[in-house]
Amino acid sequence: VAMVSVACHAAAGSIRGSAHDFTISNWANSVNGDFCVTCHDQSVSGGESAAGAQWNHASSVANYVTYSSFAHKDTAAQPGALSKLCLSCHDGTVALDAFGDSMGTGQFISTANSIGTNLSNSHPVGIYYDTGRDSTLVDPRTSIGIPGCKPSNDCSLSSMMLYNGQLECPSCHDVHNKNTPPNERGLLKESATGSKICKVCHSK
Amino acid sequence: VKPGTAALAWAAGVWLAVLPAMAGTIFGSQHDFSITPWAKREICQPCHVPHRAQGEVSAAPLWNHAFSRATYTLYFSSSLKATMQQPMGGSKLCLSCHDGTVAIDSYPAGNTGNTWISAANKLGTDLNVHHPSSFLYDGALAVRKGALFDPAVQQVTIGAVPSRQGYVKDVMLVGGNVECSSCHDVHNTYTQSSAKWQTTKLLKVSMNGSALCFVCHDF
Repeated sequence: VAMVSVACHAAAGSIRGSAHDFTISNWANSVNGDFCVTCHDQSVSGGESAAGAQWNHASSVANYVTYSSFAHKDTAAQPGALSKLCLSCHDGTVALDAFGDSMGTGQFISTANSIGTNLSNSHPVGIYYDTGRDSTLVDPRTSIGIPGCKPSNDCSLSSMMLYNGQLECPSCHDVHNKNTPPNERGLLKESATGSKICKVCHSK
Repeated sequence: VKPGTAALAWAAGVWLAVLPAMAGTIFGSQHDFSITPWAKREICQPCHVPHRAQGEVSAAPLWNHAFSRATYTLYFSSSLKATMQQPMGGSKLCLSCHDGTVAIDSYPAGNTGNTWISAANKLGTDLNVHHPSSFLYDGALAVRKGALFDPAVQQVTIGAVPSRQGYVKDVMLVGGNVECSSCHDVHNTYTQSSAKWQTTKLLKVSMNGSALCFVCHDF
């Protein structure tokens, strides 16, 4: 059985062959067939970030421009700890292959996949999900039927999408491609068709 | 074919319950473009995008649509007491389709579309024939003008189901300004009715007995 599936259209349900499978990248030699090592190392306890499970990747020290809008009811602070893990590659300031003992070789994320350090043009993260301040938000106790919801799980919006009550990158994106809908882009946890991913939270 | 049934037909496979005539949701409303070929079955995307939004209009909410470059003829009347200015903020966003100078399907930014708003829904660039917007409406204006309620004192209920009660300043004004969204709810959240074939214009308050006008105008 081939360990590495075809890269172009990865099946949902596995990191193998997904956008985060770096064993098939052009810097794969530094990964040495290890799917996890770019982000995690079981020998690391805690790591640089308290939020990162045995985090193995170099952190970004960027200070981010955060989101604001005249329709926005909250003040977006700096991204939360979980989002900072994503940004340690996706803000484009740290090399992808800066993990373990390596400082990286200057192999940076592609322009298409980098969102930079100006987060003012992205959906805010690091914000509390507060229905008291925005009455059009879905009640976080509502059970939601996204693909990641299994019968034995707590499928409430707060359990499935929020982290300590906050919205972070993993609220919408499934970094490990575990529970993404079929044929979805951007490792989304719910389909963008019919804007379903937006409607999980936004009752408009 | 009844209006709305097409939306139901394709949506049935996506959502269990999408009713075409409900207030309270953008689904099936005038701003649900998901059934048009150019919208690629997305509801939010013609206006919003979660990443790489445009920053051209300051603080526009994750804006994805091309902006209008028009300079507008502003409202004028001999009884005008407010200070008028070029449309800004939310109104500028509305006009990026409704002034008729930019194609509806001109998104994401940089893309030029070729689908145009209908004549019936187009305001044009001469705003002198429309109720003014993008002006400060506060207690001082109410005093200068007379026959206007103080928006910090006057209360109003917007929408049917759901509805929301509050001061005019809080539920109708944007940063103290009258904007398009003072009367219209673009997302059809707090409106009277949403049906495409009804001419309710996504109004927050009913026009029965000119109730919407009398929220602000004390006549």
